[in-house]
Formats: sequence, structure tokens, C-alpha cells
Amino acid sequence: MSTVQHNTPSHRLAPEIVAHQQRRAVLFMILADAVFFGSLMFAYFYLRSLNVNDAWLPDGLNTASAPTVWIITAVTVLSALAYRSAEMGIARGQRSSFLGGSLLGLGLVIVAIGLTIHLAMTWPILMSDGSYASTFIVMTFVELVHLVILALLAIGIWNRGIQGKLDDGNYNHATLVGYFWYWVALTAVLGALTTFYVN
Amino acid sequence: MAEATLVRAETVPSPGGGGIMRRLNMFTGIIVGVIVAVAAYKIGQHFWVENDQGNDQAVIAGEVGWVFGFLIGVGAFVAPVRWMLGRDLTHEDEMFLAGKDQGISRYFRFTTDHKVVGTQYLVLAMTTFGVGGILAMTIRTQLIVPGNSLLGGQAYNAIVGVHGIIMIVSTIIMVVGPWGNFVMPLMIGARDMAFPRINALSFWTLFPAIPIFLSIAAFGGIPTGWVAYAPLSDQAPPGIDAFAVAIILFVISAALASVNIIVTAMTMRARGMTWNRTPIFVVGIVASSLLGLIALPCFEVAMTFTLLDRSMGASFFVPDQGGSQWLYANLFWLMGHPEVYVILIPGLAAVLEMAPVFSRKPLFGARLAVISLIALVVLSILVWAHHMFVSGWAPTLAGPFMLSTELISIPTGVFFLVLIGTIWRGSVWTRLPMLFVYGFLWNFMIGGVTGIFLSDVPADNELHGALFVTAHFHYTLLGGAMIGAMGALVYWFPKMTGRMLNERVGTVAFWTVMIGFNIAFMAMFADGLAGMPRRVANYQPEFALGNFITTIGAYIIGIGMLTFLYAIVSSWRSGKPAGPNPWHAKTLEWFVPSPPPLENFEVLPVVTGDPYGYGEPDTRHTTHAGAPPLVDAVLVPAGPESTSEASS
Repeated sequence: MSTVQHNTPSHRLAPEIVAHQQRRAVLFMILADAVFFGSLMFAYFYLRSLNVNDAWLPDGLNTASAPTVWIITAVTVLSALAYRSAEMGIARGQRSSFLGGSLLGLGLVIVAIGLTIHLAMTWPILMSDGSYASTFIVMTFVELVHLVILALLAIGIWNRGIQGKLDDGNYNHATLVGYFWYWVALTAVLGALTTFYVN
Repeated sequence: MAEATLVRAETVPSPGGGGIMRRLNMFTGIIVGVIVAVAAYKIGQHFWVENDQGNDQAVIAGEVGWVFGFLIGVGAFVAPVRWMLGRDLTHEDEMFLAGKDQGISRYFRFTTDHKVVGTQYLVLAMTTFGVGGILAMTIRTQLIVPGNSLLGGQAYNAIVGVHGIIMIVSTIIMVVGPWGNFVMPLMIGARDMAFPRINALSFWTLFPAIPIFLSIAAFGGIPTGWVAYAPLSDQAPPGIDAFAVAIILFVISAALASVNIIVTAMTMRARGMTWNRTPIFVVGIVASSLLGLIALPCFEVAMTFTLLDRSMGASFFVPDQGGSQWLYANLFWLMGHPEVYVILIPGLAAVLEMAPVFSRKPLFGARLAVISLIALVVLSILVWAHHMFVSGWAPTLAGPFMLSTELISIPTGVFFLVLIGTIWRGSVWTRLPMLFVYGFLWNFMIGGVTGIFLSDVPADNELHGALFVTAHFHYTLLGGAMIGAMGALVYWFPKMTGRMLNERVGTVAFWTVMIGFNIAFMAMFADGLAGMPRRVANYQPEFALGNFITTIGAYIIGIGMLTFLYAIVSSWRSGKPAGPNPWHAKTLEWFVPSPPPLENFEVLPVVTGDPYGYGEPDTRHTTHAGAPPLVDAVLVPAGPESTSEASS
């Protein structure tokens, strides 16, 4: 009976196979999300290059606050690094390291969410202010959705860590959350580069 | 090792499992969904009704509320919330979710058993096909004579649009549902999908999209046609909002299902089932799922932009504000052409699966067929702009896109070679599934050849707006993919239901559909070549005869489809018992009882040979006559370590 996996009773697969499946599934889901995010970037570049009727960024309109966006990006990347240290900690069997790192990562994600909402409340553009505004706001909103999902996952994995459900022999769920975390950090960097560096 | 670790699900007590899931089902989902939808709509009206896009925003809020409410009510979020809380589902919970001992009620719950999910998908697909078919009959009735006033122009356009999208969606449901969910795990020797809960989530995410699809009519329809081109979509009634929300849901559902199918096929194949020994149908389903996973998010983005243009005043497709309708066209066709192959490949793979079984010969050029499938996937991503030859977008790219489109005819042609080579000099056993193989060959040949004409820029300039295109893609999708899918349904019907499909009625249905189909669409080709435009509710009297014949043909198709439906329903209820392997086939699904038990295989199989080794000296059985299971597989008791990456 001990061979039964709680989360896969009907398969009765070995834990390493289940872990292998889950990692692949998350990577494929990230692939689909990458196509989605890539399509947003394509839209940004495409409309930027066409600049139809000179309405990409109409006269008198400013772009969003670059420092704020870069700060959000930096905080998101830092959160990923914090979580990376947590992940390495649990792989070494250091539960406290995992709890501390993941809690720090979660805190930084919440800060990033707060900053993104602050940016949205204060930015000088509306969705209807031309195609720059539309594409920028959508990319920001998608990043916000990423961060909210990430926060939920981070709460979950941290809570599981507290409950002792993760250890150096069983931390696959932490790895899965990590995959998504790094992907979110990457999209933050790509989004910031797209909307500012390339603008 | 195996005996010691073998765990039989039946020995595990199940009372007490399920928790709150025992009280949740489709009906609680509908109740919660309606409550949340009404609340969200009212809130939307309250906050946004003052501005220009207020109605759109309220409608979208209501639809999103419906979806979330439904998913909460059906129990889709129970497992994720319990994961967050660290209270994982127990074995008893999982067995309850798998539908153990629940009878018919498991079809109305968040049930994880892949056979239940596959059956749910099948019933849903047949229902939506029925709706799409009725719309097709309505369209053809409008066109039976010139000057017919049955439908107004707007209503006609709206019906054409809904017919198009509902048929596309239904066919993709067939791919991920009965084939990807029901058949594929059995064929690879697995006990379930890799992620049973994601499997159920994919279905129950799709389910709330159906009322939203149907609400399109209540919100003014989609007069843009199924392509929902901008800027028409920006100016259309709120039916477009419903369309866009439904498409977004559909894409999410398809992505979940695709990931599950791909990972299942990659990691749960039976021991010994290397990719070389994997049935071609499984390869086809994986190829189709991967293509859908890559292509469909582009449509999701296009629909998101459409919603934002309409409800938030965004300017993605509004040229005055810096938008471009070509952005929409590119995003749409980046999905649109691969989607043709998402639909086509499973039908094609099903035909390739059936041909060796009924020819009692190995699949001719099996490796070449797999390479061609891969080539189809790759090339289909590189041809999208041939749909935009006449749009004025990037004329300098017309040549490269013409070339890439014509290249696709090479792997497509290979399939004809493979099929004919398989049938050639075989001991052909002409049962009903084999008729569908022949039907596929005939229809798809015509669809394929006419596609080569259309890939040519000058010819496309002449024919793009004509009924010729409509006839071409119906030959490809209805005559090819759909005939293949119907054949697959006949082929696996005994496995799914435990009963044989009534072959006499089924054969009548087959010939009725085939004759009606060729009458309808040959006449449509003729009208198209003569210059009759597509997407019109009325036409010149010179096209009257062709349209009359097409409509009669369509009615004959309708009769054939009803006959087929009758064969399915009556056989499902009271057909002849099928036994485990009525076709004497070699693949693994025929090793389990019909219908299969909860966990499919009591012991996991080990594969040692080619699934199509009919007539080869080193196989133990060479004919279908009275043969016991033929596959070169042995059954071994399964422990947790007995299933591993098959190719390792």
C-alpha cells in the first residue's frame, strides 16, 4: 500500500515518474503561455513599426514611467532569485532556508503586485490613447495576472513547506513552482525591454 | 517484484471519499454560475452603463462571472485550494473523483476517469455538430433558389459565422475528447491520463463556453463570419463579445487537454512501446495536440484584443488610433491554418490506423508516414499568409508563402502513397470502417488537389472570394477529416460501448453521406468556377441550378447524418455485444474488455513488436479469422516501478 501515490492512485506510478510528468506538463504550459506572450510582443512591434496615422503615440502623450516599470521588473527578478535560493535550500534538506527564501520571494511578489497596481493608478495614459497605450497596458495587465497567479502558488508552496510536506527527497512541487516563477521573471524582463528599450 | 507491490484499486475502501465533491455536480455549477453571472452583469451595468462601451462591458462581466461561478459550482477549484492548504486529496477522494461505483451520475460530475471524460466530450461534440448541421441546412435552404427571403442578410451572415466556428470547435473537441481521451491511453497501455484532474478541468472549462456560444444569437449574432475580421468585429453587436469569450475559454480548455495528451503519450507508454512501435494514431494525436498548443494562443490574443477594442476603447485594430486590421489577420491566420491540420491530422491518422487492420498488412511506409506528419506540423505554421494573398498585406511575401504552401502537398501526397501501398494486394476485409478509409481517400484527394490550385497566387486572386474555396475546404475538412473521424468512431465504437455498431444502417448512412456530399460540393465547385461569390445570401439566376443541386446534396448529407446518429444511438442501447477484439486488431486497446474497466489494464502490458505486423512471419497470428489477441505483447503484473519512460 505504501506504493500508492496520494495524488495519483489510479496510476500507481513511481514518484520519480510522476515528478517527471509534472515537470514536462508545466514546461508545455509555459510553452503555450510563451506563444501568448510572444503574440503580445509581436503586436507591440508590429503596431510600433507601422505607426498607422502617426497614432502610435500621439503628440502630447507621455509614455508610462520607465523607472517604475524597471523597479517592478527588478523586484520580480529578485523574487525569483530569492525563490531559487529557497529551492536550493530544500534540495539540500534545509527546510528553514526554503521557508525563508520562499517567504522573501512571496513578499517581493506582493510588492511587485502593489507597484504594478500603483503604476496602473497613476500612469498618464488610457487604453484609448493610441496603440502604444493599448499594447503597453495589456502587457502590464498580463504581467499582473502572472504575478497574482504566482502569489497564489507561492502561498501554497510556502504553506506546504510549513506543514513539512517538502523535504530533500520530495520537493518536486517546489521545482514546478520555480519553473513558473522564473518564467514570470523572464516575461517581466522581456516586457520591460520591449516597452522601453525598444520604444 | 511486481506481485509484492501490485495495488488493486478495488481493494482500497472508498467510503468517505470525495468530501465536498459529493455535493457538487453540473447542476450546482449551473446554479452558482447563473447567480454569479447575473450579479456580475448587474455590477457591470451599474458601473459602466454610462459610457459608450457600457453594454459590452456588462455582457463580458456577466459571461466571465458565469464561467467562474460554474467552475466553482462544479468543484473545479476544490483540489487546487486543498493543495494550497496542504490538505491533498486522499486516495478515497481520488477514487470518488474517478467515478468509482457512481453509475450514470459520474457523467454529470467533475469525474477524472479518462473514459468518462472522453464520453462527455463525444456527447458534447455530437450535440454541437448537430447544432452546426442544422445551421448548415438553414444556410442551404436560404440558397436553394435565388431571391429567397427566408433569412435577411444580417441573419444569414450571423448563421454562416456560427456554423463555421461551431463546426471547427466541434471537430477539435472530437480530437481531444473521444480520441485523445478515450482511445489514446488505451492504445499506449496506460491506466488513465497523466493528469486526470486537468483532464476533467479541460472538459468543464469547455462546457460553460457552450451556452456562451449559443448566446451569440441573443446578442445580435456575429455578422462578421467565423473569422471575425477587424474592423467589422469592432462595429458588430455584442454577439462578438460572446464569441470572443467563448473562443478564449475554448483555447484554455484545448491547451489543458493538449498538455495532458502530449505528456501522457510521452511518459505513459507501455514498457517496450518505443516511438517506432507506437501506433500511428497516437503519433497523430500528439502531433495535432502539439500544433494546437502552439497555434491556438494566437487566436486567444486576437480575441482578447477584440474584446478590449470593443469594451475598453483600445486601438489594436482601429487605424484612426494607430491600430491595424492586418494585425488581426496575421494573428488569426497564424492560428487559422495550423488549426486546419489540428483537425485534419487525427482523421488522417485514424484512417492510417484502420487501413492495416482491414487490409491485414503492415502499414506501408510507416516511418515515412510519421516523418510526413511531422512535416505537416512544421509546414502548417509557415503558410498562414496564403489566406491573405488578396488582402494587400506584404505582396513581396506572396512568392515565399506560395512556395511553402505548395510544399505541403508533398507530405500530404505521401499519405496517399502510404494508404494505397497498405491496401494494395492486402486481404482486404471490407467492413464499415474500411468504407470510411475509401471515402477519405476519394474526398481528400479532391480537397488536396484543389488546394494546390488555391496555393497559386494568380489562381487564388481569381478564386479567393468564390464558392470554389468553400467547396475546397469542405472537401478537406468534412470530406477528409470528418469522414476519417466518423470512420474512427465506427472503428472504436465497440471498445467505447461494448456493442457493435449496426453495420447495415451504418453502411446506408455512409453511402448517403458520401453521395450527398459529392453532389453538394461538386456542384459548389462548378458554381465557384463560374464566379459565384461566397458568403452571400442571394445570387444571380445563372447560379440557380448549381445552388439547387448543392442544397439537395446538403439535404442528403443531413439524412445520412441522421441515419448515422440513429445507428449510434440504437447500437449503443441495444447493439450486438462486441467482445474485446471484434476487428482482430493488434493494438493494446483491444486487449481489455469492451467497454474497458475503471483502470483499463489489470496488469500493465509490455510491447515487444510492431502494432501492424499483420502477415509477417515472426508474428504469431496472420489472419483475423477466429484469432485470439494478436499483438506481440505479454502481460506482466505491474508495480509502481514497472511503468517508465518507454523509450528509455
